[in-house]
Amino acid sequence: MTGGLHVSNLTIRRTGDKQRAGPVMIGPVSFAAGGGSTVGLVGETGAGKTLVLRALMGLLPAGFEMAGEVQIGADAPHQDSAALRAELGRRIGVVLQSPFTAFDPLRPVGAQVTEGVLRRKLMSKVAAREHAAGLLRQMGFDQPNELGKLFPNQLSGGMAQRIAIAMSVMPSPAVLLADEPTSALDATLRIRVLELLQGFVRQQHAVLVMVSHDLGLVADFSQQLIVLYSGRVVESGTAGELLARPRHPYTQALIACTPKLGLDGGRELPSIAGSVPSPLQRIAGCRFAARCPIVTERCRTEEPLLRTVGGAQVACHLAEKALARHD
Amino acid sequence: MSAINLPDTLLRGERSERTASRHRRGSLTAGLIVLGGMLVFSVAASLAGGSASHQDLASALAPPGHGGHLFGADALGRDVMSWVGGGIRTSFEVAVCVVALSAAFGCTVGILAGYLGGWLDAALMRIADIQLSIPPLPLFIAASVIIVNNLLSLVILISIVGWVPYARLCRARTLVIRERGYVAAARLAGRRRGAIAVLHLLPGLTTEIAVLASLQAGIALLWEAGLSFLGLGLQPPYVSLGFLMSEGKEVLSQAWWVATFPGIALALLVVGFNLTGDGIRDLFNNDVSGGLR
Amino acid sequence: MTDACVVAENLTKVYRSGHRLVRALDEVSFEVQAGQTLAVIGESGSGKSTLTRLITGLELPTSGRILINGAPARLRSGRPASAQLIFQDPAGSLNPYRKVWKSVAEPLRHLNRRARRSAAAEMLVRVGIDRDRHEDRPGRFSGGQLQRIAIARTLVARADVLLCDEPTSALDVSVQAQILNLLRELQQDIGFTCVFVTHDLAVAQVVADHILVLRDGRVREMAGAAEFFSGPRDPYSRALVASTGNRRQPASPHGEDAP
Repeated sequence: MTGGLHVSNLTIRRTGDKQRAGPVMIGPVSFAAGGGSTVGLVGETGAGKTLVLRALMGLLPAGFEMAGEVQIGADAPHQDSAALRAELGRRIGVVLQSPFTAFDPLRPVGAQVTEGVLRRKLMSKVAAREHAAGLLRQMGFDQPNELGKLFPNQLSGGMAQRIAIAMSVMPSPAVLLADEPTSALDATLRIRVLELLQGFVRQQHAVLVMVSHDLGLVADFSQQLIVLYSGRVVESGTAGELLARPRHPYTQALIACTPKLGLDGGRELPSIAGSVPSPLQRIAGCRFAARCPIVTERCRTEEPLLRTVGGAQVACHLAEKALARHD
Repeated sequence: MSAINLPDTLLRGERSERTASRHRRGSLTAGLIVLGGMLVFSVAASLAGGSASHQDLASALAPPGHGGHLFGADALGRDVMSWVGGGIRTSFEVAVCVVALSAAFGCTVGILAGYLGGWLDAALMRIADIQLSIPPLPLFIAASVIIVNNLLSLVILISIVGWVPYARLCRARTLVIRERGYVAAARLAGRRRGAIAVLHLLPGLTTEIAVLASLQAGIALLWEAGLSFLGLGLQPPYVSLGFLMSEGKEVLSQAWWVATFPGIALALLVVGFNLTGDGIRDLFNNDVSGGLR
Repeated sequence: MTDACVVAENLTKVYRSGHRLVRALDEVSFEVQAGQTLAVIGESGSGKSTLTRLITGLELPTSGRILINGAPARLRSGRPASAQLIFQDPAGSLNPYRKVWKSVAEPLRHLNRRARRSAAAEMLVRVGIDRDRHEDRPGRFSGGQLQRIAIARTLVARADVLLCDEPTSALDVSVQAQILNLLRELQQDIGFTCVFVTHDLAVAQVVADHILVLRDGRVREMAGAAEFFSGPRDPYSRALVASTGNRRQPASPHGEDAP
């Protein structure tokens, strides 16, 4: 089975003028995920997680370029945007935040679900329809043919997102990239939709890379977590371990300031003073230094690199101390 | 545009984003250069040559270059270049006045209809529909008694024919803007409706009104020229490009210059206004949606 | 013994949508004591946004009434409303063409320019926006900062009631924490009554003294916060609590070939 996704030193930078590329804005991001697993990419607004996803799709906006290697399964690794773009709709599938942007409002959804594979001649018309019907049934729709006749404006958000997912997985992609796939949905639907995504991923032995700002939600559904801050990976490891014993002060603070049900009253929410610096800003030393509760002089001058600290990767000079504080 | 084609949509979006940013500045600059050029020419022409209406029968139908007439002369010996220069000025005057009048009226109607809604909206829009269903040319012909050789009446009548697009535009945009949080917040702050319309609705409309106005200016020009051509608009002593073109039509085979130069000027004016309108639209569209997400 | 600041009596709101009649709210009644916070919990379509519009007076109920300090909630031009609103979309709640201090000073039109400017400046500083940013337009601020500016505007209006319609749903978790803390601090200082609409139960637990659960325009449950979170009675409320808190933790990696 050719499952799995291997990303090595993916970096994104602004395209400088005069052939000189700008400094690295985002990254380096590296991870290896086996077929059937989920990687959660977590960070707040401005951390650069959407750009990372777009890089993986081969769709960086004008003015940005990527470097590094992206290997899907046992294929030859891809090193540039054009190569990855060619895989869209074949080996790479995309699910976006708003379910309705995936659809042409003027045509019934059934035709749209099969359109992609038909245009790329990946299967015959008959096979496509059958495959689509099967997927829609998996998504919880009993009458896929009747459903296919509906127009997007006749669908609720939850229905539309489920159909959009079915559409994305039609070509049985080896990699599924999801950008906040459930943020636009009600709380009760979120879990259902994520479970459906997971189900597909396991079944197809694919890899799901899911971007989210909701640490708790993503942690429940991912095997691996990567935490981004201001364009840098600050922590990465298995989801369970990361949540239970976070090693980076930012991750710790993020977990601490997320409201959780069930805790006793505790009206004062811990928060992080200040705001996230833009990945474009040049900062000497650790990018979290200005807001870090355990900052030292070294942090302000020397940027910490990712290193292994007891089973996870952390980019912090004081990771051991942070861990000890937490425990 | 399915999710599998979503990459295609994103791809198309990327490509058009790149070409658009190149064209964006181009249209506006081109448009302004053309219009600016026409104005400069018009001033130069009146400084250089004599009065446009000066008749010099000795040089009747003189070809371009003869007897000091750079663009030639017409059957009555009038200098075509001076006439074109004066005609350009008249065209600008008409265009600016018509736009000002029709925009003022149309936008007010549109904002009222959009903001206040209800029966007022229905009534105003029905009036607009009625206005649109009246064919302009028969209207002008019927009103020819008042408008011939009367600049003010002509401007007013062209404005009457042209206010509805502004109303429709303003109404549609107002319907959207009035749902925004800041409009509700202004109400909660105690602002009266009129103040809200001016402070909060209008600023969001100015760009689109500017674009529409540029395009409508070209249309107003063409109406004036057309009516003057037919003898229903401006005749001497007014200097109109359309009038000269109708004269030129009579002598087209012998003296092509009489009709051609005003024709070119008219075309350039319209193109100039259109390019400017496109340019403004592209410029502000880009500002709104540009940048990283 | 505090008086009820906000009283809703049999609030009903019916809209016409095409040919159908939609009951956005159906006989909703509740009370909120002065200085306290009521969290209204509901999903989309529950009627929670309609409720905020009725309480502020932006819309009138089809039947029933809403009283703020004994007087019916109604908008009067010339005076700021006694119930002010913080919106879900911080960018949409400020006029993008105006400088932020002017937006904040909007409720103060009866004062002269200098008084307005200084009152706005004082409130902006209080919510954490530095003086050198007061002349900027909304486009130059982050979501969290915009929400602070919106809060400053409502305080300037000296409202008795602050309505928050999902004020932190569009914000990052760390920014949300800052905003929630700011609201709590301001409420302790100023003593306004707060009605906080949200779909997130965890957030509700942080802010609420009392909880009201809305579904399809009807009140499903109303209780004190502690009582509610230790064990809701209504089945829908229980389903909501279950889908929010303490989801399954990943015990072991699910995929084969795990790294």
